[in-house]
Amino acid sequence: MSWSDLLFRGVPALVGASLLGGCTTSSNLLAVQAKYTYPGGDYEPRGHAVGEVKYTRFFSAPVMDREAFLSLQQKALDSRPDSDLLVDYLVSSDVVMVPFEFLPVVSFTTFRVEGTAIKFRSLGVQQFRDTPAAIPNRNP
Amino acid sequence: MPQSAFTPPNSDVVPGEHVKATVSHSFFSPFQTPVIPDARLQQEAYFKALEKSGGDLIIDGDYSSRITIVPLIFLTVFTVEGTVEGTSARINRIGVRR
Repeated sequence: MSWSDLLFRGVPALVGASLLGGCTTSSNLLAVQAKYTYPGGDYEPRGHAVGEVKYTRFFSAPVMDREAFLSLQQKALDSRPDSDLLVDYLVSSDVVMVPFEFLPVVSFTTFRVEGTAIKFRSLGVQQFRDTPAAIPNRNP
Repeated sequence: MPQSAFTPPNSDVVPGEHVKATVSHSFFSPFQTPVIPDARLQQEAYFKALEKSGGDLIIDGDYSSRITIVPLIFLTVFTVEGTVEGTSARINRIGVRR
């Protein structure tokens, strides 16, 4: 490869890759369970569940707020019929801003939730041998 | 961290041995933007630690991460290292209570 080839092909490719790579912002979060599980309840794993949404926006990027997360979670649960809650799940957000992160003309966003779907079967009553402790008072 | 994964209340969980594992990812800036904190790295550390013991989850553990930044002339290398340490536990069975 000659010096002119390097200058006219290599440098633009390097700048392009750097701009595209530098314009991607990713964040993610790992959580054990999305809802409370009753100690007296029976639960059944229903398998791997995934929910994903993609957005293309001009001059802005969507925010993963509570509503966005809840709808994503519902989408994941819908992928496994008869499931009630998500456990061991990873929530991720990937945003590619073009041409620059500080000046986005177009943004491509992917919000994704993946984990294990769980079905709540029944809520029973625990059988105790004795009642050794009083319920703790939460008030200071 | 009390537990790394969910345990159904209607399951039998037995503790196992002490486990520890470290995983790392490198990012080359400006070509890549480092993900800090990285939950995927955390998940990888859990899997690696549990691989050795054959457990399903880690209980009473800790997860810590360390970032090393090496500035070079045209790029900066970010190395994110995640370490998990705790007790491995195994879910023996998930039943239906009477």
